[in-house]
This record gives sequence, C-alpha cells and structure tokens, in this order.
Amino acid sequence: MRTTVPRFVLKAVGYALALFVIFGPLSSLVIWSFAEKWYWPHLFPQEYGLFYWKKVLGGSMIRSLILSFEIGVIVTILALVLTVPLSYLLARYNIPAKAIILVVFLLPQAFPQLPVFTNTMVLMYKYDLVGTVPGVVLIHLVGALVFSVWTLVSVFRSIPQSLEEAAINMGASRVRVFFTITLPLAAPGIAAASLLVFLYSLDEFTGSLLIGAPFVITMPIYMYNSAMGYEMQVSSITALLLMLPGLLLLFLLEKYLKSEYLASFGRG
Amino acid sequence: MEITIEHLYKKYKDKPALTDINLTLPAGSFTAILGPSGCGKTTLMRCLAGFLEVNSGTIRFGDQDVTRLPPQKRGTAMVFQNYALWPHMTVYDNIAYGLKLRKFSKQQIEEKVYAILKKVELDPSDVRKRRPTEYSGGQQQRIALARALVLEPKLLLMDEPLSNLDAKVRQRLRVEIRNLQKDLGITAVYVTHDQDEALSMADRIVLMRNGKIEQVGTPEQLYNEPQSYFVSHFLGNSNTLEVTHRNGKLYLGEQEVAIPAEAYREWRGEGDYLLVVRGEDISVSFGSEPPPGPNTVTLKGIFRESLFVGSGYRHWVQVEGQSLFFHSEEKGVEKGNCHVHLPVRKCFLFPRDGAQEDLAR
Amino acid sequence: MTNLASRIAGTALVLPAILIVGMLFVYPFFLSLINSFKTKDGWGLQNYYTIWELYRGDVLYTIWIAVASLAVLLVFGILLGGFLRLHFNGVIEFLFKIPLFIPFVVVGHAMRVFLAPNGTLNALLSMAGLISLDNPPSLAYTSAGLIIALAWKNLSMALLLMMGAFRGVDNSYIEAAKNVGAGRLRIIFNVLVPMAKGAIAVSSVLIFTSIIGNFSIPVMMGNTSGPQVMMVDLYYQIVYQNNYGVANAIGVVAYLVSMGAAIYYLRMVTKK
Repeated sequence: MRTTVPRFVLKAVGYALALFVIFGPLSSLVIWSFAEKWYWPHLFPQEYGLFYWKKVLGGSMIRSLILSFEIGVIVTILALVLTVPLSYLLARYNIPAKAIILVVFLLPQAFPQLPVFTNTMVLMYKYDLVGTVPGVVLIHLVGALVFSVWTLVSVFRSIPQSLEEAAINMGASRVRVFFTITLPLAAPGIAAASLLVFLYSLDEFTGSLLIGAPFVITMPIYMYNSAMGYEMQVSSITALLLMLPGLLLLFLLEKYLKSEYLASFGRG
Repeated sequence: MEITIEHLYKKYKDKPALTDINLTLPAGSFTAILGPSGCGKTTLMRCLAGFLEVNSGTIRFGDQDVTRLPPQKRGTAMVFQNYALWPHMTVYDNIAYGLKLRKFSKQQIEEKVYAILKKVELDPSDVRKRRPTEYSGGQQQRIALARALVLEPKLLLMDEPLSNLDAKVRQRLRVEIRNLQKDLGITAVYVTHDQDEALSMADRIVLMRNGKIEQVGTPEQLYNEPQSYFVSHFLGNSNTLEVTHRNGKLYLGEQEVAIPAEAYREWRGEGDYLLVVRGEDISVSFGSEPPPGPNTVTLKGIFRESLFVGSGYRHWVQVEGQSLFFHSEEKGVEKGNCHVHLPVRKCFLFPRDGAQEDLAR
Repeated sequence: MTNLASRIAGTALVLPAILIVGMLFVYPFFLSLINSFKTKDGWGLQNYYTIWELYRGDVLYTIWIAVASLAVLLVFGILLGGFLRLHFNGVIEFLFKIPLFIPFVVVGHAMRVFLAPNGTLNALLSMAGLISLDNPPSLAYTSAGLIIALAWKNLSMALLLMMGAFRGVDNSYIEAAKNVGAGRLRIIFNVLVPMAKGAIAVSSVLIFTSIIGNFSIPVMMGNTSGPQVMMVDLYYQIVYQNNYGVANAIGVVAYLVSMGAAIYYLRMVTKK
C-alpha cells in the first residue's frame, strides 16, 4: 500500500513555496525600506521607522521620480502619435513589406541593447542629444514602439471592417470614419498599449544610463547609483516606488485585458 | 431609380470574379441575386456599393454613371449580414449618423428617425439610451434596415440580411421587408443563397454561377422554364435521370421514355441527355398498367422505401437502377414493382456534356 | 484621393516611426559591426584577438550562465506549465506573472539584498538552523546568485511561453493518455513536451538570447572576483578603458552567440 501525503498538505507546501519564491526577494526591499538601524549579525532591523522615507522624499529622488514620469508621459504620447496611423494602415491594408516592418520594430527587443545603444550614443553625441531629455525620450522610443505597434495592429484587426464600411456607405469620409467609428472602438486597446509603453519607459535602464547620465537621472539610474553607493535604505525605497506602477498595471491588465498582451512585455 | 449594369468585369489577382455581367433593374423592383457560395453575388453587390473597383464596364444609377464614384457618393444604402450596428453608439445615434452627415437639423433628424422606427415597427422608447446589443437579432435587423432606409437611398442593397436569424423570425421579416420596400418604392437588390427566400420575395431573380449570370427572370420563369441544367437542378427538389437518344427515341436504360425530345430547345439529336423532373411532379401507382395519357410518361420502376419527414413521407423509387425521390402525404403501402408517372411538360431535357461538373456535386 | 496621393500620404504616416528605429537602432547595429574592426592602428582584427586573450573565459562564462538559467527556467516552466495546463490554478498563475512587472533593476537590487551574506535569505535560513551566521554563504555576488536573479525575472516569460506551447496541444491527446492511466508527470513528459517541441525550442531561444543580452541585472549583482558576463565587460570597456573597438567586438560576439543558438536549436528541432 502506498502512503500518500495528504492532498492539502502538498497544496499548502506548494503555495507556501510559491509565495516564498515570489515574495521572498521582494520582502527584503520592504524590510530595508523601514529599517533605521540594522547591524550585523542581527536577523532583523533593531529599529524601524520612516526616517529614510522622509529623507528620500525630501531629496533628489523626487526630482528623478518626477523626471521619469514626465519622460514616460512624453514617450507615451509620441509613441501613440507615431504608431496609431501606422498600425491602422498595417491592419487594414496590404502593405508590401508588412512582415518586415513588424519585425523591424521587434529588433530592439530581440538583440542585446547595450552594444547597439553604445553606438547610438556616439551618433547622438554628434547632434548634442546626449545628456538631454529629448535624447532619453528618443532612446526610450526605440525600444517602446514595438509594444505600441504590435498591440495596436492586433486591436485594429479585431474591429470588423463592416462597421467602417457601413459608415462609408452612409457617406462618411475615411477620416471621419476613423475618428467616429474606429478610434472609439479601439480605445481600450489604445489604453493598454499606452500603459505598456509608459511602463517600459519608466523602467528603462540601459539606454537611460548611456544617454541620460549624468545630467538626466531617471528613477532606475537613481536607484542604481544609490545601490552602488551602498545606501541600502534609500535604494530600497526607490526600488519599492519603482515597483508600484508595474504592479498597478498588472492589476489593471488582469482585470480588463487578455493575457496575450502580457507575453510581449518584459525585456531589460 | 433604374439601375443599369453593362459588361461588368472584375478580377481578383487574375482570378475572374465577375465575367460580362449585364443587368437592368427597373425602378422600384426587388431583385434577388441567388447562387451557390463563390458564385460572385456578394462581389457584384460590393461593386454596386462601390467597395470594389471594377476592371471594366459601367454601372449607372438612372442617368448617372457611378462606376468611378467612391462609395460615399453613390447614394446606396447597405444592410450587412452581421448588421454592422456600431456598438458604441445608441440606437438613435446609429440611425441618425447618416442624417448628421447630410447636415439635417436636429429637429428634422428626430422626425425622420422616429418616422422610420414606426415604419420598421420598432418600439421607439429608450432608443436614445439603449445600445444595439441590448436588442434581439430580429430587432437589430430592423435597426439596420431603419438606418439604411432613413436616408431614402437610390438603391437598397441587402447582403444575406436574414441568414443569422431563426427560421420563424426569418419568415416574418421576409414579408415585412418586402412590404416595406414596396411601400417606399425603393429599388432593392437582395443577395441570398436561400432559394425559398429568393422565390418568395423577389420580382426578378438573377441566378449566378462562377461569376456569370446563368439566367434572369421572374421566380416562375426560373422555376418552370429553366434554361440550363444548372438552373433546373439548383431550384426545387430536382431529380436527374441519365437518358440517351438513339434510333429516334429517348431511352432510360432499356425503357422507352415517351416524350418528344425534338420539341425541347436543348435537343441536339442523338446522344446522351439529362432528364430533370421535380419531386412534387412525380406520382406512383401499383397494379396493372394504366392507359398512358398524352401528357404523362409512365415508366416501370421499383418502389424501395418511404421515410417519415414530419410533413409527409419522402419516397425512394428506382427506375432502371437510377434513383428518384419525391414527397407525398401518404406512406407507400406496397413495395416492389410500380408505375412511375411524370407529367411531360414538367420534364426538362438538357445535353449531358457541358453539365458534367454539375453532375459531380 | 488619387492613388498616388494616397500612397504618399500613407508613406508619410508610416515613415517617422520606422525612421526612429532605423536610425537609432538598425543603423547603429551596423555601426557596431563595422567599428568592431576599428583599432588604434586602423582597421583589423586586433579587437577580436584582445577578446580571445582577455575575455574568452568570460564568453564561456556568459554562455554557461545563460544555459544554466535556461535549464532552471525550462525545468520550472515545463513542470509548472504542464501542471497548470492539466489543472487550472488562477492563484498560482497570477503569482508567477508578478516578476514580469518588476523592473530589471529592481530585481537586481532585490536579489542583491536577498542573497547577500548578511541578507534576508541567510537570515531566514539561520532562523531555521540551516546555516550559521558566523560563516554565511554568499550567493549575492556569485554566479549562483546571478543565475537565481536571471531565472527569477524570466519566470513569468518562461511560464507564459511554456503554457502557450502546451495550450497548442489538443485536449484529446491529454485525455487519451489519462484514459490509459498516465499520471500527470507522465503526461507532461510523454505527451505535452514532445508535441510542443517546436514551440519549446523557440521559447528557449528567446529566453537564451534575452539573457545573453541582459545588462541591468549583472551590473547590479556583479561578481566581486572572477568572470563577468559579456555585457558587463562591454560596459567597463566603454567607461574605464574608453575602448569602443573592443566594446563593439564584444557586442558582435554576443550577436553571434545569440544567432548561433537560434540556428543550432531550430535546426535540431526541424531536422526531425
């Protein structure tokens, strides 16, 4: 006779393991964020408090936070402006190089970014873009456009053409059809694409490091600097704050949209 | 508005979709375009609407040549198979959309919308709040109709509008659409693959196959005077018998078929033919052979089987090894040897070669 | 609008986005290829010799890290993806989506703290009595730590890809196996994996190339002594040596490794 471990025990162990794997590493961030005094070899901080939060929130991290958000918004708006018409054309018309175009946007995520961006940096240097906000915006766009294009093409494809034809049949011009019929129906998809692009920009590291530093310090760079400087609390708080938009996006997407969008996200 | 189509050709990447279409639709008429899938009926409709560009030929609405006009400027109104009602707009806004484009005043729009809602027998309460998805399929179809008709179009195009609906709803809407069209006097083109629909609704039927027009005529004409094997076979419950004309007589196997083959338009002398007769025209009797009437052909057959199909029985008879199916209310009482009676003027004769691909179906 | 006018308008709408990627990525990509041959004394293979001398260990190290991470991810992805394919569990699926939404840099930092000698993991293990605090193992600054961090970040990707691959296997095959008495593990390895082989191969290539090219996590976690991954070497060449020739050469080697993996793997799968 086989002795089997009771089902619920296995399940409990499984869940505990999963929770540990996922939240374990993140927990250290939380602990460090609230630790005021923590000396080795104690297991946990001796003192907890919000001292470092006050320090961080009053300091230069806020500048980086605001800057990252500003850049994120600019990148998102630009991405939409650049890719909404493009994606619509790709979705509706038989453009000759359609497959090639779609792959071109994928390249920045498929190849190592560091070697390529190094040369981009040299190129941008000639045009005085290094160390400027426009330069960082551009380098973010390079990697972000793919999320916008691929998502929007799928969104526009899912709108039945008969809905547009019915409006044309009524006498509406193509432009009018686009703004009164197509865009309203594509709105949720456009929102999803915007969130993906914004998050990508917020978290972008390699390009920002090469192009932005030391004049344009985005949140990830700030965090990297403070971590390298062994400012454990500051870097952990920064990391926590950086994590929040991503988790928020996860909740939103879980609630409203299909998980196919998720598979395309997540490159460093 | 009279619609004229002359020598229309349309190709999809070297594959001919429409070949030499010539058609005149009288003003106020209801024309059904019927045919098997792939015959080009939807292509023809989309050419009329302007969604497809033709390779050559002309389309005229009245005196105006619309062949090169974009769809927005043609003045047609289309009812789509999936209704194509805009889900993000209320029913009212759906119907009012075209009117807004034509710059009618708010007052006029309101009058027109409520008037058309009345005509299509749709309850006008809450149309300013409710979205199309809150209505049943049949109601959505009425909304789609209302949206098209409110614009008083020159040509009403309907692309299999009822195919997504239940049989009962379909029956009712057929009649209503027809009456509506007559009442408003709008020229209408109705694409369908359902022959019952075409036969019961249309003034004229255009039967298409492989991008060409097989025959045009009233429903009675197409049904009772088919001009090709395809037409005779497509409409109604048709039975096909392979017969041969030799030594001056028509033979089904070894039996002589006493119909005057020479009188048929399709007769080409000796050779193989197809005899088409509809199920409702066949009758069967048992016992000693009755005297042949001048209008009836009698053949010896074997009665095989009767299947109950609800509204009656479907009978299977074999003559010289070939099968005939017909329908009647009574169950066949006997089996075995019987006499099969076919009215002469309900038999159609067509040469066998040239109809091979239809036989294969 | 005439055909020509609409073509021009269409091109004008499409062009800006493509130009951005073209000029800021594709063009620099080719520059990196070209500049890898640029040395102080003109054009030549000098940089590649330097890599052979200085970095061949690191190249192998990078590949080893990527392969090890991939192995961990495949085992995890296949097992968990397989179990989830057979038995839906919303909670687990949601949990493992989380790493996808945590920025790379945050993962790097979190892992560094978690796995450090004085870090949280060791604290918990010593609480359980598994290690002593006098001589704590340090995972953070070693290869093991790097592999753990890379695997953690790519957990979601691997899981999603494997689940996608397994979803492509029709239910009837699974049911047939259940019907003859196969347990879950057997179904995963005898039915799901063989039938999703192609998709698994493609996923592996994606994960592998992503890890080869990853910069933010290695630079955060680092290796105090010993080999580094190629991307870190590249960065140091730029920042400390100002040697763009060698840096680009390292990049080219990275491209080759990625492409090589792709070709090798796909060949292996399509051969059958």
